[in-house]
Amino acid sequence: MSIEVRHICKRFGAFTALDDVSLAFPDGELVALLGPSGCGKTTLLRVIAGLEQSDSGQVLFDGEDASDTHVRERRVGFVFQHYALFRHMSVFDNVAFGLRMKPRRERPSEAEIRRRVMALLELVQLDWLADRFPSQLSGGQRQRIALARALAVEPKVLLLDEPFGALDAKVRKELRRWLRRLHDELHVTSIFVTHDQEEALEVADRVVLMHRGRVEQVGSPEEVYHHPATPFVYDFLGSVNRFEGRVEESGVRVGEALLLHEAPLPAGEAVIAFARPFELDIVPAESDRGVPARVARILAFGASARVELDGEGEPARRFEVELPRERCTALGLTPGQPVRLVPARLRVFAVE
Amino acid sequence: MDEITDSAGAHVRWTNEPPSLVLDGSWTAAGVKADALLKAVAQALDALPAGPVRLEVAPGAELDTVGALVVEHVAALAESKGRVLDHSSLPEVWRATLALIDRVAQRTPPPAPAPFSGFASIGKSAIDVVRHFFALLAFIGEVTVHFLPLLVRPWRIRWREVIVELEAAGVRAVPIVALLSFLIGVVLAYQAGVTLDRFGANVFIADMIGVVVLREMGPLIAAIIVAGRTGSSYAAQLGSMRVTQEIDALRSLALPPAEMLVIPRFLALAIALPLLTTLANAAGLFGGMVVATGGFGLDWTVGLQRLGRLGHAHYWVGLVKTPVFAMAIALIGCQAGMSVRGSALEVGRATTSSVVQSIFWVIVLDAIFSIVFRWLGL
Repeated sequence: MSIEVRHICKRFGAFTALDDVSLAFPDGELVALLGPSGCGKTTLLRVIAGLEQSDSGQVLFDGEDASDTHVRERRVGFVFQHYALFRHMSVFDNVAFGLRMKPRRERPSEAEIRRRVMALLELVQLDWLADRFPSQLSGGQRQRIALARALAVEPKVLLLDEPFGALDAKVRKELRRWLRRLHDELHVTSIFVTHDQEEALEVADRVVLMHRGRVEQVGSPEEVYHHPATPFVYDFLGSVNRFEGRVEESGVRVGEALLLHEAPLPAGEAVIAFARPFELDIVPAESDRGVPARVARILAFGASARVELDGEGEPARRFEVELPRERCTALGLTPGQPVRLVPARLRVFAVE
Repeated sequence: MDEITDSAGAHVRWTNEPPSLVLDGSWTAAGVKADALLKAVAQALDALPAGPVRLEVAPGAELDTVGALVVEHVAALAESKGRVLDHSSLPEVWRATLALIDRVAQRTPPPAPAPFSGFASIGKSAIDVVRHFFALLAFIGEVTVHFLPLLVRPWRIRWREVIVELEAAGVRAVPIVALLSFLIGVVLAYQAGVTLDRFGANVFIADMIGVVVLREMGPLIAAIIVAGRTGSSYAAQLGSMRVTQEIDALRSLALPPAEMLVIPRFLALAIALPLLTTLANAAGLFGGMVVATGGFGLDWTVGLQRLGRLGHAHYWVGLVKTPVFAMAIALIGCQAGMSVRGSALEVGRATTSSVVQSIFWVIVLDAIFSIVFRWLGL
């Protein structure tokens, strides 16, 4: 089922959680709502689920206005950050609950319920835990049970609110691959909320970036990563080095230094320029190119070395550079050493 | 060149070629007299020819932040006279200090603390009370909306949940209700006995306990104990289910929490409280009789006869109130639980407030019942 939201606004007292949000979620896609905490992503998800009323705007399911339909008719499955399993019920009963509570006409027979629940538990690979209680399970297992419970009522839409937020890094990674596979199997239109950019980029078909209750950019993971529309998006997707300067004919003037770059902006305009850590190179201080900085820390494990540097000026900017290990050794960097930074690539945004 | 000198340190001079204001002397806290200086500047500006005026500093002139503020005043004065001041020939140090003043001035001051006002806080809490009352009304409405269809289809009520709650709210409360009611009966009989004994009217001790226990004490004691035990536990249960988002989970499964959680609890209490009241009545009467016969020489058979004669009507008058108390306790407890937002801390607050409120309402309702019964002549 496709979902569309139009001009959704939601305020909590003086705080604007959603500010005129319009989005379309095509049928069968896995979409990530990504943004820092407080950006309104969870509120949007809850509005779509019908758990929260928007102040204005419409939610359309398959093109039909669902704003006034009860949660009952929406047929959504919702997975919560903290699992929200029913504590006093066994795993089996948790999954079966939604089916057992259906009105008699729609309720399958107990044998059919049993079959369906066991099939779902197999799908989440936890059928051997059917008789346990939620408190006896690990976080990752609980979240998979919660997912099975959400799927039990055969939802047309699956909504996941930071599903892996409460899990440790390793389980998270495992579970998000697993979620991707599951989605490829089921093809239910799914929306999941996360503040973890890596998670969003890895799992989703499309990423919606939100900031302060507004949509900043929508696109495929590659699109948003390689062509960020706004400084916020660039900043949010991975670590970043920031330069403030002014456009000149042949580049961007940052302090004394001139960074060569073809800026599509008129000369004289104040700009913010960004470079990813791997887009910066370190050259000796005697060089006449680049922005001066001082090496603060060198972290060399793995294939590449990460160098943290302090910029000049007050307050001092921090830079982060990722270099191949050999290059780092060749430069012979030591903490405290003055160097210069030369960006291989820059992305320039006008200052708002 | 004309010179207008301030008595102490700071002075202002002006020259016509090129038109400029020269600041001289010590522009410091000790040196400046703002009003005199500004008057001087005003004169100077009037005397200078039209066009931009250069601001200059004489060699050896001093500046501190107080002086800088006065310079800002000078600039503002010039602006108000429609003159443009050219700062470009100021020395670097002066410009830095002026920029500093500028920065500080632009900082928004911290909001003034709200002045303490008793009236304001009374008003605020009054508004809170009204808001809370409306929230309670809305909740009662929501439960009613879900309850009415169930009256037509009673098999859709979750009877299993009702029975579970009945056990927790009713059966488990039996010992404490019985014990406390017995003690209340004992106390009442003593007080009645001491007074009635003086008139040799010991026989009426039975009447006294009968009326007080059956009409008031039995229902009230049972209701207050239930409010403390069960109302608070409803608030805590539902509150913690809100915190763990179990309530949201129910709603996402298209199961209205009012139907799933509130109505079974509410029914369980409506059944349990009349039964507990009957128990409280029996225990209270027994306690009273023990004291009346043991301490004040009342005969068991006579006592029981008297109780039997008047007991019937008073028992029903007392019992009629209890389903209403039960509703109040259940609804207040559940509403307090459902109103929990966010943290576990809120659950404690909800629990406490549910107990206070439900006891309050039980007593208010009891008073209303007394008036209504009096009116009906019961």
